[in-house]
Amino acid sequence: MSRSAKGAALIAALAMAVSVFSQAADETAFTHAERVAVRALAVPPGHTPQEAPDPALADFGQRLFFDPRLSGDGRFSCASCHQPDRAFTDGLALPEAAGRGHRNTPTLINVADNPWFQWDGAADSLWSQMLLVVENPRELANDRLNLAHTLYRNEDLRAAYRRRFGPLPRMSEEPRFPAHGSPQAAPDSLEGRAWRRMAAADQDAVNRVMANLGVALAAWQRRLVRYDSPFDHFAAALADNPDPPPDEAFPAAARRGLKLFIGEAQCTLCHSGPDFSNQAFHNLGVPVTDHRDTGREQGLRRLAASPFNAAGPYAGEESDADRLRFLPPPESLRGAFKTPSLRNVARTAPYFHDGRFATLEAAVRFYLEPPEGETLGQREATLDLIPDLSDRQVADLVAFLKTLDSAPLPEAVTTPPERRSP
Amino acid sequence: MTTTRRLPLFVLLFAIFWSPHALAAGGNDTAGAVPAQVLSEQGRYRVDVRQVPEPLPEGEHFSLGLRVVSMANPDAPLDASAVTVEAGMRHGRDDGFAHGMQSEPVVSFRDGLILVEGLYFHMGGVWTLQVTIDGNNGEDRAWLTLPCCGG
Repeated sequence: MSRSAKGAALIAALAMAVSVFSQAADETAFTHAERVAVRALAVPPGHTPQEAPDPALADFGQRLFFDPRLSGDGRFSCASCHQPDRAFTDGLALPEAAGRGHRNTPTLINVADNPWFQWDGAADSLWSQMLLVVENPRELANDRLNLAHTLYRNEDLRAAYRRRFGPLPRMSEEPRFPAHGSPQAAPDSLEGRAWRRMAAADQDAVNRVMANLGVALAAWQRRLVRYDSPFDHFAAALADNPDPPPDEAFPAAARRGLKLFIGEAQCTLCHSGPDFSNQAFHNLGVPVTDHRDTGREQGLRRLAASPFNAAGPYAGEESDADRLRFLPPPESLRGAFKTPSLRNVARTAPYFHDGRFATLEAAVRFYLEPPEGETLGQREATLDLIPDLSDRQVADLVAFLKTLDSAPLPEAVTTPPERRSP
Repeated sequence: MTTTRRLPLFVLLFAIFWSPHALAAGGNDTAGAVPAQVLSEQGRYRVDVRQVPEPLPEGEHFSLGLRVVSMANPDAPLDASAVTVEAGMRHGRDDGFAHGMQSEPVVSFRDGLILVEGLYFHMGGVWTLQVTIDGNNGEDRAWLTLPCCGG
């Protein structure tokens, strides 16, 4: 071998070593572009949980949340499905309350500032989404007249309501306020007819009670804020150092998974921002299990029909009614469901709107190997951007997703007030 | 210089500068600036972008102010009745959108401008606004590139 050839071989070997070293460093060190992308997922510096403006109101909301008297038969409360020790989910594919629900129970952590609520966005405010649950025959299965009567009959509830909102309507005047009734009931049912027979002013008074209960529950849910996951700590370290030191809570696999999440796997197209959700509605081409559930299509129709939407008479001054001017035609979002937050995702199995996937790995693999079957509406072509991933890459993504769990919320906000430790 | 001497230099430079992180994070379409004006496909109309937020917001409604003129009579701006709009992301497609917006914009005519309200970009990357013009110079379409959202 000539001297020049030996020199070439030596330099080539050196180059290979540099390449291998560079690739090894790539697995842990982050480029400038990657750090920018991670910063977009992190909670902005100085962010603090937004406390409810009225603590007494939030306390009332907390009581209501755990109170089974909100349900039609007195057996279920909001906490029956939104269980605090399961990150406010129930661990079931589909909830079991007054009946079997048809959509997976979403978490309540960090939901306060969401623009839309429920999988189909049928509510445009935190306070109004509660009203959909109370009168859903599969959930709390109550009706608004019975709920107003329940408040009126129970001195503890009546007093708490009065302290914050003033006196309840005189519900004891039976002809004015029948025992049961709701505009949500079938028109020819007893409840439907009873509601229609009421004077408009009395209907309005009962609706106002419903809205006020929603406001109290929303005030409490503003306390359910937590952004302190291992990912958040890693993102903070990454802001100062492109290659933070090893961290047991954020292992090498999670680092690789994060790089995939913000890069090749294209996850941040939809799971963006500090809540890992763009709060939009997407048709993923999920095979249909319930033909009645058309997702955002029916959510838009329910929203437009609701007197409790942001343009309605019960909305507060802070409501953003202007955005309702720009709602799209419902049929354009047939089969689309809201992008769920990935915060606390390891604690909120099963996954997807119908809870069809028991594990995170199965949920990730859906995007790589879409199952065949009848779908509703138009599958979004954005999904075609997602590349094939190796088994190791899938495992890395799952490892990253498991770093999004935050510490449990304080007992003071996750237990019924009467059960709190002194 | 012989090939033997060139090879190691190439290998060294390749090894040093090539790495997987040459792939940009996010993998989104390349961002840029909103153009000040565009011509329609057949050159019948010109669309001037007169009002645009900088940067375009992600996850918030916003408006654009456009002045649309016929190239046959560029001093007379068209009003909103001649214009319809649709926005979406191509995601590499040559034709059509991979997906649209989740809002339906409202088009009106104010102070000589066509005001497009209710635009809403729910995803980062390059969006495209299709402006369909049916005025006194026939029907034509213009395409506005709208990079979202600051990055």
